[in-house]
Amino acid sequence: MAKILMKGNEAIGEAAIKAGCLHFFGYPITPQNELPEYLSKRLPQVGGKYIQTESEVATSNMIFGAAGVGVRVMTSSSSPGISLMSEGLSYLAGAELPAVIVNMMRAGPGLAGILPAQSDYAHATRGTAHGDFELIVLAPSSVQEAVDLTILSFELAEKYRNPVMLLGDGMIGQMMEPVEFPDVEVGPPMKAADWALTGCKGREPRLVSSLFLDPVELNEKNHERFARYKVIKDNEARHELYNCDEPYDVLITAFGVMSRVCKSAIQELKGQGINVGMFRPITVKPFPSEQCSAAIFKSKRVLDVEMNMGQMLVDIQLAANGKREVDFMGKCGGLTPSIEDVIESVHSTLAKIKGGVA
Amino acid sequence: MSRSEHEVKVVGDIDVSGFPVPVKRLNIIVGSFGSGKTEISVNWTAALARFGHRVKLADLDMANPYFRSREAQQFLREQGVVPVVPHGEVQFSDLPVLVPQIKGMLQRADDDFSFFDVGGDETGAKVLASLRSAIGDAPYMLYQVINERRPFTGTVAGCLEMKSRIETVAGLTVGAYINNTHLMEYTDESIVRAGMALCEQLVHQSKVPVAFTTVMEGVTDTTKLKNASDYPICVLNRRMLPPWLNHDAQNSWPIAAADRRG
Repeated sequence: MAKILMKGNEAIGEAAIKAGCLHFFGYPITPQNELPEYLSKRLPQVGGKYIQTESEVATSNMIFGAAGVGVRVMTSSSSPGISLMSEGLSYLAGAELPAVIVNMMRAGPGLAGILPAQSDYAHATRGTAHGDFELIVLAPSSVQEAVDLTILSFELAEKYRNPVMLLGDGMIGQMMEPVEFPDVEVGPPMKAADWALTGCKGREPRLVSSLFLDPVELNEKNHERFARYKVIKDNEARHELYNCDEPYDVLITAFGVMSRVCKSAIQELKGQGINVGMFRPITVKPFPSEQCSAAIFKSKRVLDVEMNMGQMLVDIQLAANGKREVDFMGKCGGLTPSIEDVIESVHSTLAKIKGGVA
Repeated sequence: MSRSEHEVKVVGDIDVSGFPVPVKRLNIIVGSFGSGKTEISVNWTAALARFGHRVKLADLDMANPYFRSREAQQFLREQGVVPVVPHGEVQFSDLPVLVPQIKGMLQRADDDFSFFDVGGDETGAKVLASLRSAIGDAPYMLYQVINERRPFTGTVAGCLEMKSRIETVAGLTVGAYINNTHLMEYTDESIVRAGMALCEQLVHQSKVPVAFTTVMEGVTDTTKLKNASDYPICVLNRRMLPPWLNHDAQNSWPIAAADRRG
């Protein structure tokens, strides 16, 4: 299929269709509005269903219902809207339902602003909602990667029967880049699952629920779930190493679009004769800890750069395991650090290495 | 078909700036979102101002949250364009904020050209309905920007549907197309030519002429295109840059470009 020029939000919508998702429920919020808008036009063309809900609370419950009957389903929102869906996300995980949730993060907390931020890393990776569960969380850094990871999100959701979040930010949603899609009109439907509510005529009834009153049963269920999360971490953790072949003193860690500013900074630093490596988690949950540690241990010191107050920093520090110092540079509120900001921070980290600062 | 059927003069001669001089004082740029309205508005007004025309550019984009002409206001001022944009914190919103100078631009001719960079689709064009009475019977030119490589506007039917939706909500009529067909760094001559071919079909079906075709600087050889085209080929410099492509930024995006004075 020939390349076309798309906004990230539109491209994710089209990618969902290519993945065979024909059900979308959502409520408008900037900066992700082009996604529901796109699907409101496209889904009727391909025999799908688009419903604008009355709230994000309703959205999360409609997703629960659609996933429960064994169809591919997606929603999208931005930070405050995702907060509203939190309860529903816990129910989806509790009932082991596959669904894809897109969060085009904006600045927070509260209503805050409409500019891009990476303000919900912590919410997505460790504090999504009540109960013992995790989401699988994928963080694209380009429009093409957003397309590829949207398709992967549906695969992982079904394979592991767990909700998957695509964690972008306003910049990913709003920027335009050329993209290519798989050469299918609409992807195949979800394979008939042995748990889905498809009408019980001629077979035993099934139950989709997150209610477990028997403590022994719930204990076992949660242990089984976390054993599955271990399998996901072993098999599905994805990352990118950038400029790590030559020796480096400083390793930058960054995810999403922030990594692209860091790449430009790394190229400029090369011109100054300074080699800097970068580690970018693509799955931010499960976090590729071992791979991150390996990259960290080749450095003398780490610089974590984020569009927030340091939410991924904990994962980087865990990977550094007390053996390397981790500096942090972050801007938030809707600001994206510039190439110059990153270069300055690298120089400051280099100065700490020279000065032997702990 | 020959263009002579529609020898309406939609733009004047190519200026030394490389862009045509408009034939009307009021120039309103519409189109589907992501079609390139802002890049064209910023480039065109800057080119006119650099060569001595008194130009104002109003950012009327209330549909898009980012990559609006207000982000280029520092550049516009340097080039001599007067940017008419919301000030203070509301400039970072997608609220329907109309600064009072906009009606002034429509009604008082204290400049040579007034440009209006409108938000995408019919949603973005709704703002024009509220300005319709201020425009009154003043002569205006409404340009519809076309990128053949964007979803929904890759066909004649798609472009005409967009045209009709925008005209309906705006209460104004499209007077010219601008062919802005590109695929960023993947643009080649054949992509620009595909856009030109689409526009030829549009001209044929809608009897609305093409004002000009754009190409991004350094992407395609303009000589061959100029020989193949009945209307001007104008070269754009990309001004709406994401933070990883902006090597000159002195500050964090979007402050690098915006003016935060209240």
